[in-house]
Amino acid sequence: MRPNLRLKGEYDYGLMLIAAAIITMGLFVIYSAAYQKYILSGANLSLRQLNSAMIGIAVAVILFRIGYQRMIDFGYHLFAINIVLLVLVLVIGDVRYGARRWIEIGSFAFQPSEFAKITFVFALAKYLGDNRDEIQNPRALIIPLAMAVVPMLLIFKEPDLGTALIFVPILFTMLLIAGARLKHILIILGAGLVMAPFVWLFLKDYQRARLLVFLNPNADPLGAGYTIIQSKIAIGSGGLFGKGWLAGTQNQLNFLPERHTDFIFSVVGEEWGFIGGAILLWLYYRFIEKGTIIAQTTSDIYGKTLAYGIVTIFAVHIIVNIGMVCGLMPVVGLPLPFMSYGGSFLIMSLACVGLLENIKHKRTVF
Amino acid sequence: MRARIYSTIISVLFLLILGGIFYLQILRWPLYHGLSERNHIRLIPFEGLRGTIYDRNGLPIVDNRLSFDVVIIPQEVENTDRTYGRLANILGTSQGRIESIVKKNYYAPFAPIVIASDVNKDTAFTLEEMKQELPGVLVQSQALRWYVYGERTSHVIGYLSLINREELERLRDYGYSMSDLVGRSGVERIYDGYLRGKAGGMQVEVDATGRLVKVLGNKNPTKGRDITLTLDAKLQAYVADCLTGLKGAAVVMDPDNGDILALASSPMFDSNIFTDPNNNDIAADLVRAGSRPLLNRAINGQYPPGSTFKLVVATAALETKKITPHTTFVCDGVFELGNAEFNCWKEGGHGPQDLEQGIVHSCNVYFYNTGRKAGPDIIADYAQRFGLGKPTGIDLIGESSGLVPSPAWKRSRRNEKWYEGETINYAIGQGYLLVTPLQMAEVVSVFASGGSAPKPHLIKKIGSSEVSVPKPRQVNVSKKTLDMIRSAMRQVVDSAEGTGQRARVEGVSVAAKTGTAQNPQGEPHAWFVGYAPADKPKVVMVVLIEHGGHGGYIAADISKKVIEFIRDNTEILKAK
Repeated sequence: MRPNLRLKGEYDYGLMLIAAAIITMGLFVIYSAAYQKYILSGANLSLRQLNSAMIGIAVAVILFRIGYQRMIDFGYHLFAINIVLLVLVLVIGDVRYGARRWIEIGSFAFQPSEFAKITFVFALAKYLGDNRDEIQNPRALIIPLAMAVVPMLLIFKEPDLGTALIFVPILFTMLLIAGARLKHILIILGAGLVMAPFVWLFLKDYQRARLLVFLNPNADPLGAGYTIIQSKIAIGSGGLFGKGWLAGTQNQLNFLPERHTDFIFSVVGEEWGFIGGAILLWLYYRFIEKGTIIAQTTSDIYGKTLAYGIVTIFAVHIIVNIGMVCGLMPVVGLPLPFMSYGGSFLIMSLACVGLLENIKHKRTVF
Repeated sequence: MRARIYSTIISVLFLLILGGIFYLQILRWPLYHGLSERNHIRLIPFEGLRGTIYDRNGLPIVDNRLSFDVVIIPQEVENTDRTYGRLANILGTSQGRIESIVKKNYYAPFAPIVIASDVNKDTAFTLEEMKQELPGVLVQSQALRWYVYGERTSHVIGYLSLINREELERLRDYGYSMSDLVGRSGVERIYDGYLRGKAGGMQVEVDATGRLVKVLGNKNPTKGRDITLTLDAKLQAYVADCLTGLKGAAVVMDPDNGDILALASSPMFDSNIFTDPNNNDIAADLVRAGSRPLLNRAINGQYPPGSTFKLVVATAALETKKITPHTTFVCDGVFELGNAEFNCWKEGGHGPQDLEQGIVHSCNVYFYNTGRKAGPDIIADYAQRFGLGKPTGIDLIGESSGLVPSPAWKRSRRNEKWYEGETINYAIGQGYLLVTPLQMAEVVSVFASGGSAPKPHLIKKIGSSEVSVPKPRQVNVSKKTLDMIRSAMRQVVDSAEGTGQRARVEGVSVAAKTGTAQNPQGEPHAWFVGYAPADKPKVVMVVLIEHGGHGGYIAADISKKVIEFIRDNTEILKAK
């Protein structure tokens, strides 16, 4: 029996409050992004997002009840199921916006790639926990590498470059935290960088265009560069205070494509200004900080790697998304956690909050 | 340790992102603010209509008409193949041609591309009805300048074309802009400032597809001032018709006030061609054509006046008392000066001639003698008094001066001595002397009006305000002399021996003088100058036909037809 000593505050209310605050802000931003003067109220999409949030909360509560340990116990199974789904999506998946990412069951559609991130973290946490004594051995790194590469290739095939690439930082963070030797990590990283140029050969035309456009957005101002140029104009023209809710001209007059999903931060920037953007960024930072503290203060190696994996998923999404919307990174299509419209990702994000809370809840102090 | 590395990396990345949005929103705000404004605010210019040009009776000579352009908005076309196919059918062109036009002019998905300019009304209505079936195909209407009489008013009215860079530099301060059409010649040019409309515009908010969302501001365009000319449109058209197929010019003018009733030059061009978007090639050909159709021969054609100048020589000699009406010279067909011989046009000669006979028969020998008595300085002096040698001052750009030579002129310009033989030629309107048809109209006016030279002009009214008629210039010639010449001019037409008898018109007395101007280029130019009715002149008219032979024939015939037309179809002779 483990000593049943618990720290004060079994729940991290701050973490939940921040998530709730960002979701609430997101509902308003989605409302504005979907709003069309005299034609369409934005309420429709906001309500659906709220609906997803409710489901997400339910999923979070269920996961909290089940407990992270059991999820890790079934980590390999969940991961295997997810891999099967990823294969399935390539076969029977629904094509939207030119990519095969969705599986439809009745009226419900979801993206297996969204869940692959978290099931990968479960499986990797289990492997790293189970093999914690051999982690210094380079041979122990072969299986984690393979676990990352398989879903990456499948997702890359959909194609969804952004989601495929997110496995890289998750893998390295968890290896780092699990105690793998830095030398080994750096060798893998180096090998990966050497291989990177070959990825170019497998990219779809639109993906190549996006990368080229990142280097020079004006190369194709009405095509691939259009989104990023309009997004930068939206954010830049927001200034310090923003143009006001429902008053962003870039947003309201349809200059911003995909503004309720991946490019939602440009609506924040335009309508809420630097102040709104900085507050949102600060909320995200606090959220990541709190997650990191949970991870750091957990002594259970399974919980620790799991928490780091989850925090990394959030951090990468936030940084890459805002970075690309501001033109600091290429457009790779990662949504902004709790803000971007989209059920699968919101549910997964909330499930992750449930898991973090559970890790904190079960945390034992020796 | 490893946890600290992780946290540091995360913090640094967040700071970079914060720096990124700070850079965009605070440091580069002015740039992006401007870009966003330009993104969604557009200025749609409305062209102001150009003023209408009316004739003296209020008939429109130049007006504006609606023209229909077929345009495509690329992003709204649903099925490119089907749309282009059907459009090609309706427009009677090929699908490939439409595709190539779209390809060549594509600028942005929301920017309209003109597929066909100025299509006919039926096509426009057909397309308008098929709007639902052909999304992305639109018919846009715009006002085009319409020259009602086409080429029959070409020289006097002029034409419009796109402003060139040099003009733009000069006129920018007066509100002209890049795509403006400006008057290029004739009335369109000289009254451009009055005629041109003031462009208005609408500031609108548009969405990403360029669709109008909201009107932010509106400034209505204003039509330019209408102007009324002294021309009689029907007469103008008739006179122009008379010249068709010939090279030459004709002027019909009111001798009392200088109102130009008709002013035509041939060959002509169609003013519409310059504003018709489908006819750019023809316009370019006109400019290059060897027959110089753009030249207004009535004010820019400079010809020797031939025998018509005898009116001036006779006046000069009478006024300076070098001859009297009764002075008689014998014409035996040849005039000898030293060992040079100057012939009369009539072989064998006219026999003894007094002044009236000299004019009626247009006897060269009579005027050789008269000219020699008067001398070149007196002839030049009177030619200038009649208005020759300088522009008449008509309201058209670039009028030619003609040339009145004199011994002093020859000395200073050519550094040559004036020979007496030149005086002989001078007396019959040959040699260096050059006049324009309009100048001759002014000369004839002096006789018609009884001693005053009106200033020829085209403008009658600007808007609704009358333009005051410039006061005629008094020419110091005695009434006796004028009466003498006038009666001779009448005999030119009425006498059985007159050179202008073909110009006799039933019910209207005509006074005239013919001319046959020798020129080095070929057949002589035919002149006919005159006025009617002879006792109370309402019109003076000048007809010049290049290489038209004897003035008593083709030029007189045209004059006769024109005077008959005036008698039958206009109010001109009926006025008080």
